[in-house]
Amino acid sequence: MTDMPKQHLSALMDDHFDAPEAIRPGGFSDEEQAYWERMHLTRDVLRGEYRPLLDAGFAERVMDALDEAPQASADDKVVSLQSRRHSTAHWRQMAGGLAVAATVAAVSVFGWRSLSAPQPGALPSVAQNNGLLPQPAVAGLPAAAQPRVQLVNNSGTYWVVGNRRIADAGTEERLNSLLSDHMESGARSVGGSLPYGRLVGYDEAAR
Amino acid sequence: MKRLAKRLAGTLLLAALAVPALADDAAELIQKMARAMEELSYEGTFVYLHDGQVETISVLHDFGEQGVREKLVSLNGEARVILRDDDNLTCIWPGSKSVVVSKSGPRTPFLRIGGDDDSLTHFYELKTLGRDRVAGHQSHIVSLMPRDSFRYGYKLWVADPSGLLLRSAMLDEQGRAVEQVMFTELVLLDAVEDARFAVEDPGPGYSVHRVGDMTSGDHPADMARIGFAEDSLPPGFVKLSEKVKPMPMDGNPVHHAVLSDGVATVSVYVELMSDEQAGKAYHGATSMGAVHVFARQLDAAYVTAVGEAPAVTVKKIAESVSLQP
Repeated sequence: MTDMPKQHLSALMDDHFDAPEAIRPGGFSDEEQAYWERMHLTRDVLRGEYRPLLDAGFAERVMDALDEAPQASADDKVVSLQSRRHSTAHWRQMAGGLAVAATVAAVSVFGWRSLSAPQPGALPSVAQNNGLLPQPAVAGLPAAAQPRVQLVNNSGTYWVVGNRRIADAGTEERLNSLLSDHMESGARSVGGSLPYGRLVGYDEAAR
Repeated sequence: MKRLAKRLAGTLLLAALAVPALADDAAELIQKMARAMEELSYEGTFVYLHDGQVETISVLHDFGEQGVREKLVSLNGEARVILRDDDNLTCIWPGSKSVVVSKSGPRTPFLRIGGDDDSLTHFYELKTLGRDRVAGHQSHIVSLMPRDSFRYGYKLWVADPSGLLLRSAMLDEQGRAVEQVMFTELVLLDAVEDARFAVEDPGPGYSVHRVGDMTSGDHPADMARIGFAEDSLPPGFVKLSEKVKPMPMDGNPVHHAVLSDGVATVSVYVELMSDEQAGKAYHGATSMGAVHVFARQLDAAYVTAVGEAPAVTVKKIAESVSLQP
């Protein structure tokens, strides 16, 4: 995979491309698609926006619930057993299907969002909504299915005071200049030049 | 012929670096990492995680006849670019349509880790924590945990056998990750074409700021009054260097001192300002990821301390600045 598609894919994640510009003739290769999905997942998990719609134990829990359900009556026992066996298999199949469908739906939602033109106000980034996590995509799911993933405090790639970011552009520019100068000051920090990522990743759009 | 010689040098360096990897020693691994990050040629993509955010950045690094050359490009948002070689550091900011060119700092070796100076172990506990796999490369995990609250801890994933840093986590007192850098892809290179480091014309509307050197005749004599109350500094932090130079953006003279405990570094900038100028400047604490800043006014001077250290450390260093009568 060349660098250019990676940059396109990265930009896609940020909704910076309109669809006609983003989609290459012939579409993306499987490798590029996988890269894009991996980066999407990583981003969503790290931002705390990842919400698995159905967890791995969902089908088993449905099965258990069916097993524990009261029997109808002795008269229709044979029919019940048959229908239960059928319905268990049916539920297993359906739950599995739902899980797959949910995954596809999740990918489709995120995919559509990225492949479409930017939607004002839709699924705001953490930076845009002042650090508040968005509401879960599906209401009514048990809390266990909606883990809150948060590595450190939510803010953004910009200078902050407490939870507020510095809004003054002149101060930001000055602090960025001092930071780049500090990193060139001769006392090399851990990670060689990788800490320059702080500056390169500076989120001017978040002002 | 030159390329062959360079390739051979790279191969020999790799072979030399491979030997210490067998020695399961944290200090040795860190020394090896510092050399590899500078003296190998590589290309990759890494993610920078901090404050709940993730940034994706590409890096191209070359070590050859022209010394160290490096290019970092933001893959998210605007294409912010940093180019660095032995002479210049060039930052291209599409947001403010500005290009800032300043002098590169000297590439000093990794500070006070290993060697004869074992003062580092007074402040950090060095350990190896086994092995892991990152971006398809095997690595040794090394930890440097602070013995007090004046510094951050580090976990480093050092590639075996290249010695490149594949992943690093900066940890606070409670062991929480304040900042992380992790390669998602990394490729070692034999050689990098010069054209890949060329600075393209960013286009119309850009302003270029060049930051030069400054001689003693270029700045006020009052700069000589600036000093540090050394007994007020956080334990282990000593002054490594100081000079008067122009401010990166406006060219005004600034006294710049670098302090370090052997791992973390803090810069202190002192400018002479009128009360009106100082009144408009930012005062107090601010941060970005693991970098903290503390700014304050001291008579006619405006002091700003910047560094990858906890807020309390940066504040204490800023407060240790004094103006001799």
